[in-house]
Amino acid sequence: MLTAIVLLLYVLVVLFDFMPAKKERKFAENIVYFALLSVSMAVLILFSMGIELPGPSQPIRSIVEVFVKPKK
Amino acid sequence: MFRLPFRKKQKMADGGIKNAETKPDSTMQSPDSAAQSPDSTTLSTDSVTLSGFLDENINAVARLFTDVDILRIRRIENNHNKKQKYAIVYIDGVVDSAIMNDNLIKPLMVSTVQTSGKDLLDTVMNQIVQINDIKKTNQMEDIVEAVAYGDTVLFVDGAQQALILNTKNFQTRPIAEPENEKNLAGPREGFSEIILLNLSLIRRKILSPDLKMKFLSLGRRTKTKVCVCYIDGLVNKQILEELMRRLNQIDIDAVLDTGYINELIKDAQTSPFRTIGDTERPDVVIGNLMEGRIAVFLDGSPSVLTVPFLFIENFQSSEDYYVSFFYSSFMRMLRISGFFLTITVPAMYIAVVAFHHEMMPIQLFINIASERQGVPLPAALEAILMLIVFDVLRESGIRMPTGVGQALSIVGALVIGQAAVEAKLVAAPMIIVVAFTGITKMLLPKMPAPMIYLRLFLLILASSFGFFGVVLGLSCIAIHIINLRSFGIPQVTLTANLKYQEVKDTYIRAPWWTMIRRPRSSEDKVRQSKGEGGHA
Amino acid sequence: MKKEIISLRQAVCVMCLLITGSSIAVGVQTDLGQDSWLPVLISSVCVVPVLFIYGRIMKLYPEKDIFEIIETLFGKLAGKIIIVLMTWYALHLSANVLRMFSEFVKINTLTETPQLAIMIAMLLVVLYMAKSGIETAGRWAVLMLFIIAFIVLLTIVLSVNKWDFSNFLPVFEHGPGEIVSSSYKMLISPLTDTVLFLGIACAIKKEDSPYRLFSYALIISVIIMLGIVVRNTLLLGPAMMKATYFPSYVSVSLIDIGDFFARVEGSITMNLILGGIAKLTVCLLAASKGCARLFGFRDYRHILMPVGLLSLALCAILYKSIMEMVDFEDILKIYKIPFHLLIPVAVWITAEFRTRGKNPAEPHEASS
Repeated sequence: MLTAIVLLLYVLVVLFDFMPAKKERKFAENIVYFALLSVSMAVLILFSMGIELPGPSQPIRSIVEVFVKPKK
Repeated sequence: MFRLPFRKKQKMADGGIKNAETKPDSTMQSPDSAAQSPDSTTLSTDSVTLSGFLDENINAVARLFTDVDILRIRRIENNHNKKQKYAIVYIDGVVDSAIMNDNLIKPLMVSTVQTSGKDLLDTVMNQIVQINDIKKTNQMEDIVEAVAYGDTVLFVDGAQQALILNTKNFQTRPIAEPENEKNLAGPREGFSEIILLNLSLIRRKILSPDLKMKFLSLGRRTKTKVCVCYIDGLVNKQILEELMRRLNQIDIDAVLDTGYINELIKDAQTSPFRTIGDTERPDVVIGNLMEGRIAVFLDGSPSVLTVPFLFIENFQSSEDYYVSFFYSSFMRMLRISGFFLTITVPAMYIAVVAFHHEMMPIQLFINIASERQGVPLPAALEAILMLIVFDVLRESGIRMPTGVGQALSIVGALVIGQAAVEAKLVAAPMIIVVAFTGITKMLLPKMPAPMIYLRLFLLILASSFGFFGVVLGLSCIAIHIINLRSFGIPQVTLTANLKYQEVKDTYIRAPWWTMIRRPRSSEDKVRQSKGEGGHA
Repeated sequence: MKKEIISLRQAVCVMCLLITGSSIAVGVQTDLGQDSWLPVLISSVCVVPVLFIYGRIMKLYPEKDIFEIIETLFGKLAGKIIIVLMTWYALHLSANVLRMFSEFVKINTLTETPQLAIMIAMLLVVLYMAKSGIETAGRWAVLMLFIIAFIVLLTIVLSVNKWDFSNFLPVFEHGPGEIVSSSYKMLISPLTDTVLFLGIACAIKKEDSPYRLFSYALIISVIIMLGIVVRNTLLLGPAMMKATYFPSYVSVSLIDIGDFFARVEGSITMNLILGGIAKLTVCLLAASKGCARLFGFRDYRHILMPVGLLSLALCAILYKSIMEMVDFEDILKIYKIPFHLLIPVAVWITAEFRTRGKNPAEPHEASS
């Protein structure tokens, strides 16, 4: 159910945001656009299906703890 | 199923009113000249000009008007100079026979003026024909238009041009107050369908020569006359240029009503809100002209467009200025809250009943819950159904002949209201909510479209996300309204500068002795010099 | 593409919403219990030099956003690295804020709605506003700040019958160490979140003084936050304040007038959304401007949607639960230092040196 909503969202985004100004953009811009779009779509679809994904919290925590000893 | 709007993307020249590039006024035309685009699909009048021979001209006209049985061609000869022949062409029914007989046919027949040589046409025009408005032309297009509109065309044997004479006589309905813009006080005039009559209603009230009226012609086949009025010195020139540019871009077969023009030149094609005002009252138009706005009249339509349009005009009514400011301030605030209420009441009801039970006082909640017992539909669906039913009632009430109207109110009130509740199809509080919504909608007859769609939008959001959804929906609507522009001017300016000067005429109607400035969009900022205009 | 300009008043309101956006609903720092008003004052004094640095950067390079400035000062390679860092930070912050808001809504009001749906709904509205541009955000901010301030005032006034001044006692119970630590937390977030405003600083006119902008915004936000803290303390008391995740929400739920006007915490939700939309818009605009500069786009609007959806994806995977979010706050306060302090200071120092010998308003040589 949630996955369907996510897919619908992406379809709508492509339809209403990409299509109207399709001709104005350069090819490279389109590539970047779709690259970013696919990354986020992959993550969201996996998330909506319930699959656990590693978040950035752990890496950030490790990096910060190198500099500052964890307090409390 | 849906009526699509006229598909024309409206972009400002160079993306901004400040950079409007327009051609200089090369497109200003007199009422009788041709429409913009050369047309090869209709009658081929372009290449036909007049020759000097009467018979040829008459035959040409007759050929164009084959199968038009109301066309009349009358040949005339002069009493004293039998060689001088004339022919008049007119359409029976649209011309004034008295004028034609007395002022045209009779002088042509009995005149003793010498008519010969090169000044033939001028002589006829200046000394013989006794009509007030005459034009010379040799273009068949002009002749066709003139004949169709009610003028008479005079062909003179030996002259290369024809004369167009004003013999118009229209039947028109009496000047009466428009049905859906009634006021309690103030003038009760309303526009009619004849453009010259409408213009006269304005002209007589503004006696200054600064009131300019320029004619255009729109529509490839209908060639309808359009008049753009403004007050020189008050109007913002850039908006005027932009308006002209957009009007000249209109390329359509027929323009039958100002609604057509409205959709073809408006800014936000996908918004339910108006970006161009329209009205049927002369006093509203004059008030707008005095604020530096531009009015567009169309022949055949009693409603007049005013450009640019500010959002707050949706809530203003001209009688606000005729009655005391206490009353009108209250009414204005009532209208604004009416707009807000009619959109949010169903949504809030659903949000509270379905999601946030704790917001209601406990006794009320128990009552509502007991009413809702046994009702099969979920609250949101019930609300949508009832709103649709209400709109059906309203719409059929408008279209129905008066005899049946009584039966309708009985059907509406008794059957749908009472019986449905008793049959447990609908809960009683829902009827109250829907009725209240419908009534607050009547406060603002000019903007039904936004209210219907926005109400539905908020209702759907409320049924999915509760109060959070309602607030999200209202934010979306607020963002949309903030984004609205009318001819380059943002429609909602007061959020930017919440200045005293602007608020005075928007939320409340402040007394006349405080209204010293005009709106920022006009050039002449001073409406009233300070110190004048007293309190009695 | 038209250049977007907002007036000083609009910019002040945007910045106020940027600062107070989360505090309205969630509440201000509650580590010190009844002394929580003290860090608010102390941090607002301590943040002045930082804001001065931000303002100075804006003054040296008027009508340019920070990404342009970074590229100018540090060249292509180093500049790009720093832009990547700042853009990542903008994305991370917007994901954080979005997450906090959706947790708030999910826990308090819509307990049965899937969180992803709440996040999507909010993000769509934010994207609509961001797509409409900075001008719309400015005008929105003026209106909404007024409404938000009014509601805060209303909640303070309406809760009069529950005020308990003894909640402020004992005053100054906590030692200077704790006070400093709490003020620091307040400083690093939300007061210096204003660094993101530099990301859209190209919308401020040259004539408007950035110092005035920051000072007005600081004063107004501090007044609002002080009001919130005082109200929370008066109504809840130290123990309760520390116990809940959302003290503002709980304190407003206590409002009760004559048995009739009760449980109006829905208004807090409203405040949250109105303020949150502005804050998220600024974060997303800054992130997409950074991305646009990174990839060489002409107009940030083209990449706005993917960036928004990227922050949505990040928001979804950011934390497993609200407890993890609260735990992470300790790390967050250190993690923000480079973005709020180090990078702006580096930019400032480099900018000062570069413009020392030249006219500060000299046009730069990098392509726009």
